[in-house]
Amino acid sequence: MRRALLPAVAAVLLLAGPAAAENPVLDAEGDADVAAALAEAQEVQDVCYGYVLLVSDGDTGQFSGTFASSSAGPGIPASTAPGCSRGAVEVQASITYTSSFSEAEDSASWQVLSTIGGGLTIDDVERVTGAGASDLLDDGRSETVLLDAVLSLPGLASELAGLPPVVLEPNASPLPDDARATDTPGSDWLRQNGAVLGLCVVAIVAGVVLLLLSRRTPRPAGSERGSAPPRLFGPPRTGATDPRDPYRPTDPRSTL
Amino acid sequence: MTPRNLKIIAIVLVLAGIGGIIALSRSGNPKDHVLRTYDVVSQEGDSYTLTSPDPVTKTAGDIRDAWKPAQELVDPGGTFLRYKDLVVAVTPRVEGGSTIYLDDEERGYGRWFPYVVGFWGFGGTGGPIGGTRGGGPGAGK
Repeated sequence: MRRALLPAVAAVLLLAGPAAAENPVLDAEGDADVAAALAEAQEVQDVCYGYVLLVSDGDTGQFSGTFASSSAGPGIPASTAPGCSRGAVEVQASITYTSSFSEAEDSASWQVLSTIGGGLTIDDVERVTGAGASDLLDDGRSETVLLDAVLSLPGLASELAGLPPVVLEPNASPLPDDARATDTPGSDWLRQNGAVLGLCVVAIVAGVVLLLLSRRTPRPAGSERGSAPPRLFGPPRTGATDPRDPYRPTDPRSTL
Repeated sequence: MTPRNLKIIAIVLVLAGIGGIIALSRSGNPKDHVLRTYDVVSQEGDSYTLTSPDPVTKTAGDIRDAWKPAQELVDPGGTFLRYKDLVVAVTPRVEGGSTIYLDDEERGYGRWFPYVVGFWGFGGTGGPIGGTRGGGPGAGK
């Protein structure tokens, strides 16, 4: 019985082929968020927005593949999406993970494909997001970096190509009972001034150390004004001495 | 180097450090900066609405350059900057320029809940920060 099942199991495994690749930056929920946010922009501006991510995973191969999401929906590149008469704007990113046995570094690059005019480039995206392609290699930041890059496109298109802006509607509905902000930020002052504050503290500490060193540095006796007079050796002198200079020999014949 | 020169350098360093700290202590805060820089249109309690003649990217960039935010979120309809108990939202105006909303954390989170949920907090269907984020192929090189 068991022997009879073996060929059938082997056939099923062969037909199944390799498992679907996993997007290393955005999961399915992230792609859906991108599509939903950009769909509103498409409605206002009649432009398709999205991203295409090409991943080459030379290590495990788990992440190799081409991934996309756009205002037309998850899995659909903006550049091929139908129904956008004004054109399309797409972030095209590429990530290469090298084998753990290779000395070559992982690498990433990106660019913007735009057919709406206005000269929108990846430089504009980097200016707005403050991120670069290499940030796509940072596991802790890559998702936010790609999201910010793609979601900045409608605003940039509005400013550079003269398209109508997407205007946010403040929320007027009551929040769910469990809704609350998390990860409350620390001191703004320290975040802004921490580096300069550190330099100031270092300067003060260095100054104090130098001050102490200057007090301990040996100097020639009597080299400075106010120092003790040199000691004189010899038999004790007798007779009157000059109170201003006890070491000055006194001439008994002197009338001073 | 003579002890006298060492003393002079030491005193200059100490004075520079103390002067720097005094100058930093007068640098204010992000809310004061925004209120000083842009025109206030309306106020309701601690919440302000202001206008900027510049587009969203420049206005948000100027605020970010003046005061580094703890978190920043870019949306098709604007940019959100998060500070300690302060949410700054910069959104476009149809007639040009941008509108700036200043709110404390609770009010700002409520006002912009549909856009920031899942990023700065949770509630409803939105997940916690980082709850669905990150991942990737492990340690890079």
